[in-house]
Amino acid sequence: MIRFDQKFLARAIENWEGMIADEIVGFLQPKCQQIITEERLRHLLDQRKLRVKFGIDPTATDVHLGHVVPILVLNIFARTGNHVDLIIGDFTARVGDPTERDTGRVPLSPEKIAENKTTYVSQIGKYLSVEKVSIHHNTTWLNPMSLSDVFGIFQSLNLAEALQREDFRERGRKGQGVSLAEVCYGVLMGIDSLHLQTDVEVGGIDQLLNFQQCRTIMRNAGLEEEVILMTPIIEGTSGDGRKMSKSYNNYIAVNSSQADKFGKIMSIPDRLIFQYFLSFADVHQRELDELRIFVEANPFEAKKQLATVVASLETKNPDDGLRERDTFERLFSQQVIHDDDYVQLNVEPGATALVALYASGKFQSKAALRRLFEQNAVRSVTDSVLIKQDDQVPEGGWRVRVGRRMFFKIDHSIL
Amino acid sequence: MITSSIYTVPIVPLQRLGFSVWARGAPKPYLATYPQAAKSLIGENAITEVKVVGLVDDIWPLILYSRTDEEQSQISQEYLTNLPQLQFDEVYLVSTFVDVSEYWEYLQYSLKFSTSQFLKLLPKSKGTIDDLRSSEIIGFLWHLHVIRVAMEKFGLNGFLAGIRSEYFYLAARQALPPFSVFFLSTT
Repeated sequence: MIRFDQKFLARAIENWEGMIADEIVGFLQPKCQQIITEERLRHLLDQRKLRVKFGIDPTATDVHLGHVVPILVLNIFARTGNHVDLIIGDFTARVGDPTERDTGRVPLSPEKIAENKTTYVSQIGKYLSVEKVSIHHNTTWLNPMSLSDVFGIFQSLNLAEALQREDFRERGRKGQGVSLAEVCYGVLMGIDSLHLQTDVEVGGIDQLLNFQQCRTIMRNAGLEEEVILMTPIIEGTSGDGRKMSKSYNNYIAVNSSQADKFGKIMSIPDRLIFQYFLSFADVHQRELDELRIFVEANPFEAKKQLATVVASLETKNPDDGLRERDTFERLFSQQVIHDDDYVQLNVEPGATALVALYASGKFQSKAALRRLFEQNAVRSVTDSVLIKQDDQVPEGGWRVRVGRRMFFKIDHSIL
Repeated sequence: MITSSIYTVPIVPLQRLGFSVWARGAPKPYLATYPQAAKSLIGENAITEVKVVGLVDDIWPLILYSRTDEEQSQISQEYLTNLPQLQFDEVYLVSTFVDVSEYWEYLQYSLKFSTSQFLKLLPKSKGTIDDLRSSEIIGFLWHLHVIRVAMEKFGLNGFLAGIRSEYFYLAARQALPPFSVFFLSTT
């Protein structure tokens, strides 16, 4: 059996300083949906160390693996000795976030932006050595700009081009409005690139037209247009075609446990395995065919290897993922449950199953826990008998399984 | 003469009406029609007094036509001299009451307007959208900001405007605190 997981995890701690341009592009390309242009990127990497820009939205605080995909692209640049500029969009956040997802969002205070930034950076810092990157706040250069400076940049852009972008038209066709703020947003991003003299910008494919506006602004200012690398919008774990999002409850939180990450990867449909490998592992272009064949021929094994990679992504220690794999195989393949798989709960005599389990703090809400009861997901481990929410914890205690992955040992408190 | 008006209620006896004008060239005599028309409001709807406040934008033409400060200052001075003679009660240069460096404040208005609304605001005289630059957006947001600041600084409760500016003021009413507006046809 090919162990892609071990190969990719070993790669995560290799020293990549001095890697040649072709090799770097070979690792970047599988992670990107589009590069404009690959030739130019290769040429620049051949010439010098590059300044790579990534914009952070300080309104986002809960980072999930979908957000991590471009961060892993940045990590390749950082590991190969290029310079990464992280831009905290505090200027934009102060004006009010204009993305289509939150047109009504209230502008954030500087204190809230600072707090969000700290939370965000600590989460992405698990995947990118933030001490090796420069963190900028775009108020630093956007604030001091005069009306005349701003006018000059907007004057260099054709209005029809700015207002009638294809994504705006598409939203118009769907009956969704496009605010003027969204038009301004792309221009502000372009000013960031001008200020930093950006060589390469990384982001999601949904940013394509904003990036193109950045390129136009740079060209109008007499600079070389930045190269843009766009990662795909990662599909959620449920595999219903919707993007990974907290709103759709189909995400893997960066702050979740390794066991949770492993388990959630094991729940994805087989057709997502290959794409997730490309997004979360350091796969080289030349390995694509071999990996695809392996995934198609051995989806269950491939999924376990992918889950091993994802569970170890943060620590870069293969043992973490392998330990989760062992646990998974023991619990689900061999049906062997160890004592340390159980969360111990002590409750007052007479407590119901609902009260006892909710006290564990493992459930988002009582309503969420009730749904699990309704879905017959709560059973006794010993005899597999269904447990109802109002059943009282018996005198001798219970060993309870909730869903596939949670185990509780519930006993009466000793008075 | 006033061709149409939109009142905020309740109508207050003292109307302090702003009139915004770009100092792009020497002030024209027809500007006198604005204070004249405004004074005709006295006696209507329990209005007992009307003050007309000239808001002379000396910033936007300076930028738009790439003028020197001196060139702009000469033109602006003519407004300060002539508008009182045309029966404006007070006259202020925008540069004296709007902080140009706080431009992020006017970018906030961009959240309140859709691109399709904005396209309707563009005067036909400016040609088709293909002929225009994106700075039209900044001009629109800046102008909104100017009247907003003027309302606060000078206690304005309404504006006088040419009928061609109707769309702009209707849009402004959507984004700014309530104000009355009186439209004139000067042709």
